Amino acid sequence: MLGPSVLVLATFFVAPLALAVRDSLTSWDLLSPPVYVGLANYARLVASGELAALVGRTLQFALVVVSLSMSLGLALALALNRPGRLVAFVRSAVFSAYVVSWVSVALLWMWLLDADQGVFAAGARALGLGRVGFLTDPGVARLTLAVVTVWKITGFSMVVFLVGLQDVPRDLLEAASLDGAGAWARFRHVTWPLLRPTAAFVGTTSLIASFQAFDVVRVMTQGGPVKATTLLVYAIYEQVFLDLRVGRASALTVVFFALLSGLSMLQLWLMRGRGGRA
Amino acid sequence: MELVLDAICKRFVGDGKARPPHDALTDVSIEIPKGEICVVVGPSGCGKSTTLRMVAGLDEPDRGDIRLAGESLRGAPPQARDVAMVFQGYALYPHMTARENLEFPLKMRAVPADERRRRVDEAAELLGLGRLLGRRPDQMSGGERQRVAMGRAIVRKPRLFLFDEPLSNLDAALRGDLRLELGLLVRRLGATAMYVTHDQVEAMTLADRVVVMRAGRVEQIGPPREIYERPRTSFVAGFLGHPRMNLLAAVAERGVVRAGPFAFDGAGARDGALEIGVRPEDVVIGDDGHPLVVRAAEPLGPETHLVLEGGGAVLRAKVPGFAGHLVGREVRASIDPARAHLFDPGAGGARL
Repeated sequence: MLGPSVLVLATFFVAPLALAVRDSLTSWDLLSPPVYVGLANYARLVASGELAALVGRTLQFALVVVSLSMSLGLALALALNRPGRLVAFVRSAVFSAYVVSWVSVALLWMWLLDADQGVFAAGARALGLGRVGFLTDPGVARLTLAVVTVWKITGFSMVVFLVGLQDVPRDLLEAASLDGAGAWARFRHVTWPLLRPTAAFVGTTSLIASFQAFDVVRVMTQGGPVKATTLLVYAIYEQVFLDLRVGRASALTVVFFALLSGLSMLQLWLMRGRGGRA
Repeated sequence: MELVLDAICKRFVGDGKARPPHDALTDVSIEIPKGEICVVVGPSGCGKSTTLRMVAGLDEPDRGDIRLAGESLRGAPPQARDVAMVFQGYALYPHMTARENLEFPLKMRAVPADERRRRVDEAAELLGLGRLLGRRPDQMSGGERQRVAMGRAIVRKPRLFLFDEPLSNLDAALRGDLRLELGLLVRRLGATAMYVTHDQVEAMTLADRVVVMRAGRVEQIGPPREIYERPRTSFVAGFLGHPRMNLLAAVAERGVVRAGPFAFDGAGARDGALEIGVRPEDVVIGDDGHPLVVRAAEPLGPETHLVLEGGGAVLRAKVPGFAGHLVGREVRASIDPARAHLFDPGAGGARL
């Protein structure tokens, strides 16, 4: 019975990971045969400070994406969890961003964010902020990409939260209001505790989505300016296809995997564990 | 009057084809004196739960007023009403222990912690919840959950208790036990209560006053005995009592009422069609009367319910003891005219 799933798991998960681990111990430019170098790739990444910088940037990006997309998704779900045609339209509109391809989204936002002709630049000028290089200022670009990512994936977290809200029994909220709880107390003491498993799911999926950010970087900034938007997955791509350093890229992949699984488990434990067997 | 419902009307807008707009409540007026238990009964969809939800503040009436201790509740949200409710599905917070569930209404009303503890312990003592306090709802049986739900209602010492079919999710034996317990508890607290149910046994046993509702209107209000002995309409007559009252089509002609094989003196009844109601216990099986065939018998132990047929009529009767052997036989039955109820045969079914 387990056969097929084990096979799938081995083909698409265990084998690639094992290959990455093997390649990370070599120096290989895709042209000449690989040479075993031990942990040299890892040592180099650590010693140069490149790894720390990459992980730092990626974590910062993920923090913004996860916290904003979760809170915005929850707020939208709470606001739109009611019948009505207009509400249904707004729900589909918000979700539609999630369905559109990453490249279209990135191109659309490049146009909106253009430092000279974009709508947002015009807004910034009108507010007296001067010329804001949303994609060209090293201090702003990463935040810009995070916000674009939030714009795209919030529809998904909203839909998942909406499903979670459907599972909160109406009579519990009614009982709470008779028990003297106002709207905020009902959310805090009834809705939120029952939404915890949903929140754990949304948090983990958006963490993974934010860690996997690639298209948005590739299309909008190519990792610049001054590496400000070179996130982990984009760095792996650069190492393989631009610098032809497969060993180094594989080492980054292994680190990426370890970091992401560690964070996901921590998050699931935090969200589920504290609420008992939620 | 502690609670007054004054000509409540409510129309549901409906949602397209599935539920067309309809009047859920029409001129519902109920008065409950302090310390009384008022049981509202009726078939499902009669508006009894809607009525209760309006007192709780979970629904707002379109017209009419609800007053608790003389003050109008119009526009007051549930949390501002001094009212506690026990729900059909218990509505216990699944992520809280029994103690936390009981504490919740006190916490929401900013009762200090030591006072909370004392009052929860008191309620737990009263309901025998001691060993359950550390458990979560999913670790309790249905009856235990129901007790915790009761406890959550009483810790607050509200002015008014509302019960929405609180026993209908329990199995029959437990329902009987808890019904008795609940009645004793509410009396002991001297509380005013409004209790909604479709179970006529709960209505008969718990109520100081019964309200029978049908299709959004009040059919009759009165003490259980009055409702049972002098039903104001044929609907009320058929709703209370088990087995149901026999309702037979009848004709009155020159002071004689004829229904199926029966004919008796109906002095005062005006000529024309009518409906007569006879409770199964008022069908007398004996040596005289009309011959009827026993089509079915349900021996219950202390009594047997019979289904009799003959002369174009089918009626139910009650006889003491086991009488299963009567099936297929012929018996003689008569009706005591003094115990027959006469109703208008129209839709209203008013008592004549």
